[in-house]
Amino acid sequence: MSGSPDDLLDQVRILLRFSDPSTAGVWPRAAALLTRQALESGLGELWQRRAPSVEHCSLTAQLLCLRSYIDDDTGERAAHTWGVLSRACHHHPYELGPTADELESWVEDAQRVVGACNDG
Amino acid sequence: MDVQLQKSIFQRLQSDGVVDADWSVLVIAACEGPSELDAVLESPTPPSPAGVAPLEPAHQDPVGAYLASVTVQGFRGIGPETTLELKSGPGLMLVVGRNGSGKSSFAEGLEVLLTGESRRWAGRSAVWKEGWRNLHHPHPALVEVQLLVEGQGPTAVTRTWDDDSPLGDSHTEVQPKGKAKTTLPSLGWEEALVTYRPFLSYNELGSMLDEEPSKLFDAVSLVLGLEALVEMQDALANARLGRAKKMTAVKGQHKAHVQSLQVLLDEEEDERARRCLDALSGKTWDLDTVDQVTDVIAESTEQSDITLLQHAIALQVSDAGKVEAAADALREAESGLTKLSGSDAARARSVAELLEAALAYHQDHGDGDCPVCGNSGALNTDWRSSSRDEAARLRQEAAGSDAAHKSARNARSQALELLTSPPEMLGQLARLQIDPQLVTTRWKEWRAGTEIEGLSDLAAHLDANIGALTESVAQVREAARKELHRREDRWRPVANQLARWAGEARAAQEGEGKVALIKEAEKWLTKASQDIRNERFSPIGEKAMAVWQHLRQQSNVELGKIELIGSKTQRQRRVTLDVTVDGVAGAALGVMSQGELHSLALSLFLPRATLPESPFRFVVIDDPVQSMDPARVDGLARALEETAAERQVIVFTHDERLPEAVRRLGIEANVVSVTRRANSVVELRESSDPVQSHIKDAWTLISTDELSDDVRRRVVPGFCRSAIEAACMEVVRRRRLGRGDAHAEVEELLTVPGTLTRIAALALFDDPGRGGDVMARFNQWGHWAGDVFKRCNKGAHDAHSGDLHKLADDAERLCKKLAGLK
Repeated sequence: MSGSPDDLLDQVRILLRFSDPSTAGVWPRAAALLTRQALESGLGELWQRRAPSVEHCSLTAQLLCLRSYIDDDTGERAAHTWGVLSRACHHHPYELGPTADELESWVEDAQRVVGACNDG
Repeated sequence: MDVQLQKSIFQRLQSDGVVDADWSVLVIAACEGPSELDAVLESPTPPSPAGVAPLEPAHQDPVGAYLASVTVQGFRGIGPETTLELKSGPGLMLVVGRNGSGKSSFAEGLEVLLTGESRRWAGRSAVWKEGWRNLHHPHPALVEVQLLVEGQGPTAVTRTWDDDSPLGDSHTEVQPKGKAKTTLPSLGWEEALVTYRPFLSYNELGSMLDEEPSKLFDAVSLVLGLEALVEMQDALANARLGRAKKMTAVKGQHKAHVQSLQVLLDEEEDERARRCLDALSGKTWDLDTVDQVTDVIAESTEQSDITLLQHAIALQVSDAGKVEAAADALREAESGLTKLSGSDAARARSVAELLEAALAYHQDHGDGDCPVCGNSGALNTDWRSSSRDEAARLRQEAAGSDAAHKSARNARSQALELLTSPPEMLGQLARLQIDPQLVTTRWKEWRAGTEIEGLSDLAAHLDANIGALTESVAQVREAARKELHRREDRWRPVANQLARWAGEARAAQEGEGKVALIKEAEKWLTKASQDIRNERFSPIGEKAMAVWQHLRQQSNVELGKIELIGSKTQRQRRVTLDVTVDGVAGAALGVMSQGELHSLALSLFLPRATLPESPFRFVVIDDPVQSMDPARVDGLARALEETAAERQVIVFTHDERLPEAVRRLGIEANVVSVTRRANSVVELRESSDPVQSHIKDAWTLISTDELSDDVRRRVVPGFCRSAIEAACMEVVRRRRLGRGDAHAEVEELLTVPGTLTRIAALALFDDPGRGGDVMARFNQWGHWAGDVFKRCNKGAHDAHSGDLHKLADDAERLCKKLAGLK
């Protein structure tokens, strides 16, 4: 497994769609972690090609820069998706893991961002 | 009726000293139901109250049932068959899952299984109700519960739906282990499911106090088992109203009947109508007279028109055949007499006697001279023979004459008998518009025959007059019959109705006599019901207040006495909650927050669902935590803990607050988390505290071959970091809440978005600003601690290149150290 952003997203889809007793209950957070990493490495690949200096900035800064390289709408979506994924990746008091439906939609959002980065 | 209740009513009658009142038997009869009440009311000799005293009841609690597991398939959010295992017996169980995870499908499934419907669906749109089948796994749809019934062992209750059947069309089956299958109703839970309803959802909690006050009253009072009292009150009220209604109806009909009698009389006088009208015009109705007059076979009075008409119809004149025979007899007698004309029977008899005497003389003395005339030798054999013949002839002649005269006499007297005089009533017929002239004349002429001497004349009279008279009499009879029919046709319909009404009126009058008695019984029962209700409610009310003490927490709302006001039949019925806000009494529920209202509803629900009389040893509460303040969640946890000492308490909740409170407060509980994957695959996991569960998850992932090494390296650090986060938060929460900080402040501190370093600074130094000192402190604990913290912090965004086993081990070790912080 190469660990490319697209591969990571496929891994998430497998986790979400195929019931496997060994990952019972673990998958929501695992899926969130992987999706966020896919998003982040998608950005990383873009910076490596287009603006290597940005790669080492904070994620918040990277997301702000992103709008200059891809379309505004996807840029905004990237910030939002990263936000919700980060929230899901952290332990929060009284909060349960994300649902399969939420994760599916985040995966699709991340896919869009990753696609835009590939083209950007 | 519940014997216990019946007994307490009887005792109350005794203690009130009214058991001998003439109405108290009605109260007791009402216990038995409306038909028994009616029987007593209709009975001419009501039984004495002592005679119907209830028996000593054999009191016992119902057989209780615990839940052992719930299995759901193809229903709501659950696709493939999933079983929620429950620990039978008293205890607290939390089922935690996000909204949409399928957790509520267990609660709903259980409710639908036992009650056939779900309360939370009430009022929802049809589309919503039709969506009960799981989209991914629509067939088969099944809900099964394993029950542990006290003294009976395991029993499976299953509800299944055929493909395409609507929600309301399902099959149920009850299978006690090792015994024959039976039916759901055989569990005998139908009433208890309503009375002690062991299910409560967020929606219901919310609506309990939102709805009309009467709904809350009904929900709460149902549990008191006092429906029977309401039924009694209904029975008495209905008995009274029914009777009053009958009387009103009879009075209304009375008017109509008087009117129709008046109309009848205005048209034409009718003695029967008149008598009835008189009977009904007084202040009290003379129903006996009405009965008598309207009776079809009633005998009329002597002077009545009807009697006259009846007599006229019965009018008889001599039978034509008899008259003809009499005329013939007269004529025959006449001819007999005619044949005798010139003969003298007396002389013939004398001569015969003389000759017979002479013959006797001759017999004795032999031939000789006639001793009468002296003719010599007159008496001889020749004389003797001729005289004997002559004497016999004379005798015959005399007898013939006698017979003719006799039959003439007979014929006459027979004829006279037929010549009856005209009946006096003929004269009265005139007033009935029947002309008596002709018949009277003819009858008089007929009678005039008695004056006729000659037999043949008499015979001729008979022959001549009988036809005309018979004809006239027949005419009178016919006229009378017509008149009688005419009158009957006018009268009978009115009479029949009147007769029927009189019967009803009599019954209604008798019934009305009981109304006052029933009122007395009602008055007593209303008051008694109120007392009994409050007596029965007081333990629930007290428990509710105790639960409220847990739930109120910082609430400034004080809950005092809870009372049920009014009765089932009253619109104004309500539960009065003696609520004071900041010590100010009379505050309405309106000033309470949603969370407070829910808590209050729960305070009422928990005692109700856990009464000893309930056969359910379990309580299922779905999402009670919504809209509760964190502090109130602690109270809820305590209240649930208390309930769980005696009951199996199963709580479904969509967030972690309740499990967190339960853990923090050291309340014993089983926690199961529910997640739902694609295609409605629902997974259940026993869950421990979050730190341990994150660590456990990390280990699970490390040892999962299904995942690629790259994926494992990417996700395991994230779980380790979550464990460290959770460990830090538990330290902070325990420390701050322990020293009395407000819940809300603590939660705010913990939910501020921030880095792992910030939360670690809070845990280590109780100061979120000292992030810079965190690494140094961890490194004091050992380089492993600083390393694992750094790697977890970074690794959540990247694949971990080092040893995953060591990472997880160190994370677990760090969490334990953190947990030891004061």
